[in-house]
Amino acid sequence: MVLKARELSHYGPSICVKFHGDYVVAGYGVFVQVYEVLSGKLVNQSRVFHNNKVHGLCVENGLFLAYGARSVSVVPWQAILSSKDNSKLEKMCPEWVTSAEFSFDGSAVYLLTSYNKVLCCDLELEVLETRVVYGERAILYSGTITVQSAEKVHINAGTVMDGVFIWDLFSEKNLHHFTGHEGSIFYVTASKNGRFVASCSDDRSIKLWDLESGSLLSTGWGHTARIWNLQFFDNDTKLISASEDCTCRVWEVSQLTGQLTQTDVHEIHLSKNVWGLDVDSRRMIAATSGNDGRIKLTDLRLRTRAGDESQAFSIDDISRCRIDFAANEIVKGFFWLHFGLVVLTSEGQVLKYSDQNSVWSSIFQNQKFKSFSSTTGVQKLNLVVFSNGSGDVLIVKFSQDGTQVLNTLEIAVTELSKVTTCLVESFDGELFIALQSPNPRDALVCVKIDSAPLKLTEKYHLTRPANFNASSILYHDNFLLFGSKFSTLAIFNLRESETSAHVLNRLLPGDTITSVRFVEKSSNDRSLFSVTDREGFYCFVSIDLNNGDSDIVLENKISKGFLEGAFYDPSGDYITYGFKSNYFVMFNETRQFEIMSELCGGSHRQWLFLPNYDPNEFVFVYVKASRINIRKLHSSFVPQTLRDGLHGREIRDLTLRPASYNTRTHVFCSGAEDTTIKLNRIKESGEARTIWTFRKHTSGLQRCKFVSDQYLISSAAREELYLWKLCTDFKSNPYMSIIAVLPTSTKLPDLRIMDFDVKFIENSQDFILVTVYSDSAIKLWHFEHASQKFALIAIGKYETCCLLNVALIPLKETLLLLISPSDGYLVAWDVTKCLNINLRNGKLQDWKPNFSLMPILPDYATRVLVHRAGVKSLQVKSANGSSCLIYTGGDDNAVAISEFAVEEDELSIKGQVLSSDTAGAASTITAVNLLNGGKGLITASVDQRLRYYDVTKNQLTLQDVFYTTNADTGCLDVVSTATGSLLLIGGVGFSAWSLRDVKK
Amino acid sequence: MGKSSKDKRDLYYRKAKEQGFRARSAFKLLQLDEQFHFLDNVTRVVDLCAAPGSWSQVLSRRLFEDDPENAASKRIVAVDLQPMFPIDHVITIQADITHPKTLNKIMDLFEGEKADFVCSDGAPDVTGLHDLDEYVQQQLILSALQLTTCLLREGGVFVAKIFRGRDIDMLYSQLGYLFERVVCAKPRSSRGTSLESFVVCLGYKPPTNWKPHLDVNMSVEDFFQGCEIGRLTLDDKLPEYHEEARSIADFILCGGLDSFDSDATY
Ligand SMILES: C[S@@+](CC[C@H](N)C(=O)[O-])C[C@H]1O[C@@H](n2cnc3c(N)ncnc32)[C@H](O)[C@@H]1O
Repeated sequence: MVLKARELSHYGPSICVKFHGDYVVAGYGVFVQVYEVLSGKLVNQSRVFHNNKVHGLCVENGLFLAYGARSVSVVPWQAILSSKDNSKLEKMCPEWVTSAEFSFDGSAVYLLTSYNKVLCCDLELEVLETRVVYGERAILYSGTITVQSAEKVHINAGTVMDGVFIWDLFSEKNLHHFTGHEGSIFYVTASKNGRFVASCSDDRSIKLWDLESGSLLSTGWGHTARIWNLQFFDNDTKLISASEDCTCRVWEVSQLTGQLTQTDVHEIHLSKNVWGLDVDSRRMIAATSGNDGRIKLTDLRLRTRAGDESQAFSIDDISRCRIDFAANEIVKGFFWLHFGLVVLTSEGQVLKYSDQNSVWSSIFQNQKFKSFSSTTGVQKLNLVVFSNGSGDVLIVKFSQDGTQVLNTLEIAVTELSKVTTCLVESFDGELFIALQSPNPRDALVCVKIDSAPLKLTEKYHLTRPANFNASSILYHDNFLLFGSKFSTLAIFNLRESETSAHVLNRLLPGDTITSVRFVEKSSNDRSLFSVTDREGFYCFVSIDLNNGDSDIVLENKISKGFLEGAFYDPSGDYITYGFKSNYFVMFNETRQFEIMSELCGGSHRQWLFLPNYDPNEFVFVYVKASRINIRKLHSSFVPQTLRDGLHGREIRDLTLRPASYNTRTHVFCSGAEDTTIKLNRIKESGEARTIWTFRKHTSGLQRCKFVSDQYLISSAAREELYLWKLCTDFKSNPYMSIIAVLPTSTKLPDLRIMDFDVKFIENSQDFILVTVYSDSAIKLWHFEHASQKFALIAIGKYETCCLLNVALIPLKETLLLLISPSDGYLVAWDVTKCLNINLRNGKLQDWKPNFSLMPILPDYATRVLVHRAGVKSLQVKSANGSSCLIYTGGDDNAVAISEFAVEEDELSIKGQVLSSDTAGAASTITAVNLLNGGKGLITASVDQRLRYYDVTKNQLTLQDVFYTTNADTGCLDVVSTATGSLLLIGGVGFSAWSLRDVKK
Repeated sequence: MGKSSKDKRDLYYRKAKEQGFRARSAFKLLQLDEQFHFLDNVTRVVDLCAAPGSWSQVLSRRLFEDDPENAASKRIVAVDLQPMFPIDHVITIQADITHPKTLNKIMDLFEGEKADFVCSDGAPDVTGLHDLDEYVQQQLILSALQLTTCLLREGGVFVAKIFRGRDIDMLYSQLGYLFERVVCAKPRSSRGTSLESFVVCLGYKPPTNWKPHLDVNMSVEDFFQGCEIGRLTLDDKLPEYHEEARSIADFILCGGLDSFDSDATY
């Protein structure tokens, strides 16, 4: 049997990106990807190098030039567009290629190497000549080549210690030596007009130099971290910079003085390393790419593209439309309808603004709504609702184009002492208006109005639950749901409005619920709602509306700021909106990017955020400095991302759910150094997509593992360990939430939980958990499903080293505990008696609490030296009833198979090494995994290689070695598919492989 | 921003403070020496990438304090990009070791005499581009090696920090041409969770058919031309992609089992 391994997909850093006509060309690992700018369609992915990543590229005269590390290649552009593999053209340079360009007439190629040397090559990459500046051969971090003409080629070289050298290729003379920066120069580039050089460095500044005089023109400060890339654009009048602070910034370059003025900041990537940067000056869009594997397009004219994105009106501006205002008359409320804005003033004057012809007009005045008024409405019904403190409600219904008021209705609700809240909802032509008083004993009065003739049809007096202060409303299927303060949700059945509400208390950690939305109904008749609170938390709650039975299937927090609402967009992305310091921000939570932000002054303003009748178009209206501001967000004319990445930093662990999710679709979780856990979906074709990004852990992830189809456990530093439950009842998405948290040993824990293992007790959802720590502690726990609590049931310790892995292994009547510390041993305990646990035929039968003292693990039963350094990964296979096989990979580059057995008398445990390969890799082996029911073993190591061993005879027989493009290769997991297995490898990014056994 | 999982304080950090070392790195050199005894009887040494200077402190104590005899013929030269506070008996130079001029400066200080031991604990600015970081790291080693070939006596020892990444086996193979034995050693004071290790190259044996020649206009790659570790062939056509020689070095964990594991936290 041989293993056929095929890489299905690769997600990882993209180091360079460039516009070429209607295409965006990006280096993506060893590949080049070509996208259509406007549609975002991937035209082709072509492999250009065997192992090296593409660091830079250019396209000219039908030829494509790529370079990365020591690789270079010149490929016909047509072949990049059409052929999947062009790697046969790859050539190797003796030194690292820092930059490469075609010569002026395109007949030659210049390669600038990291030793400040230029190889001038023909198009076959034969070196014609080598050019250097005598004596200046220290290492470069950056450099670019400026081809001005056939005779004028400048090299802009950024050194580690000596600033920037500009030298002339043909005379081999230094022209300038710019020394103003501190630290290594990370990028240097010249403007096309030959006037300026811009450089950036470790010191977070951008410096603009005069190429003629060699003087420093200005320094641009703004970025809060290292800057990686700089590009001049728009005829050298602007400069764009990309930085580790996750932003790119646009700078105006004064042509007269050389002054740099920052004009715009764009949030682009979530993780710090943004490498690729280019601007299409004709379309005014920027493309960026980075360590997170995302290729992002940013509209540099987001606020002016259609021309009507931003409007602002003062009372003075409005009065120019021949509208009279009293002195001190101000705007009290507004609502956005199909035709434009309806405004209520402090004098009870109702105005409308037509968005079509930009004309303001006064509709009427109603003195009742002079003070304590509120304005809201229903876009679908084209009506607005005004209310005041004494319970008067005025409904105004407009014609589609807004030119006429079709109908008005005024109602007086007299049963409330005072009205402070008016909430409006509609369904199928019916309007629900709920009024609430500050007196908690008052009922919540709700009127139902038929919108066609505007007629009151029903009035409900809903009994307010304790500690209830409604802040949001939702009508669904004859139920009214109110979100309230104290994070309470109340559900009223309108068919039986006299009965009290079902109340869900403390739904979220925050206080005020800001939105409740219906998502879908499951096949077992439970309704799913999305709920947000102001503090930034959101959850999905599955409710049986008839009895109020509820289950939070997902709870999460946005990365920063306040949350005012969230919804699924038509493509299934979860979109949130709210405030972040002085900004209003709309964010794609699924794909983790900012859609828009508006400097509005903060959340205490009057504001309104609504769709603009197209599900992809929005209006944000707010008052700032006594002006009504209308900010529109039209759907972007180019896709906002061409490729979504995954984590921005190293993936520490990934785990596939054992059972598939849908046909040919699986779910997996990944945990990374960026502290997030992501729940992702992957098709058997290799196409992956992140669904949720959880920010529960506060430190870098150590482990995450599905312990069953339903449960997942994750662990990290600070003794963080969470038990998650996966919910697959709904069509919209899989959901996941924490159902239990492991208690910590102190209030300020600082130990890492390095690994854990779980064994379920037969016929129950209870299990035994073991955790191992960085201070050599071992803890055993019992999880009781009924109470959803962990109880500590035994503790132990091994020497004084960090414990790296642990396994619980049932062997006949014995429960074996096996750990791998950083000293290279495998250490085993018999914990059966100590835990007071019963096993039969290797199954945990029951566990009885030990009510006396907390059991302490005795001395270990046996230990075997397997590795010469820490055992990084471990897999267990129970061979027969009384023995098991342990497969390990170590920091000493070795792979080993060991056996542990319970002796006949059940009294002693014996261990031995069966086979080991001490040169199993050139570097740390970070993961081992069994394949094919234990016939094969696959290992992953930091040297970016996967090795496949046949282990049928308990000997390690190397079968095959594969190269993986993911650096810092740290974890892998496998799941069976119809045709073989699906393998995921994580490190910097991740890749998916299909594995198949084929007969020789 | 999430907080990193690295635990800041560990026992080595505290121990370094107690013993007056400027950095916990001192224990790495001490544990390597405990295993290989390369510091026995050395008199002239170069410490590259030495700031803040804890290796130089170890060397100064070993060469001068522990054995004050023949002080006049002993020499320690320490080089770093960063300035260093003075250390007794150590000559410090602030320079870039990848710059050919720097190597000349060091050579001058040895006045034609050979060194017994060259070490480099160099680590570049980490950019986050794994391949570039790895490459620059290997260039630091090759620069150190360049000096080594000009300065080290036959049979001498070279020690350098490595990160065991993708191409580390290529470096082992290159070093194998110049030394009798190349070992990858990991001191217990170096974190198990980091990829840091050290190559310990024992028994310098320069190839007989190759004479190292320092020229300020040559890069490291040029320098090693002709020696088997150079990549540039005389025919200047850039070669097609090919697998370069790789070999796996023996792995040794240094520091007795009783020494403290730096990943453990208390
Ligand atoms: C880990 S520290 C060395 C610690 C030192 N062995 C000690 O014990 O104190 C790495 C040093 O390498 C230096 N370095 C990096 N690149 C260098 C270069 N090109 N030339 C000289 N020193 C360099 C850095 O400045 C840094 O001080």
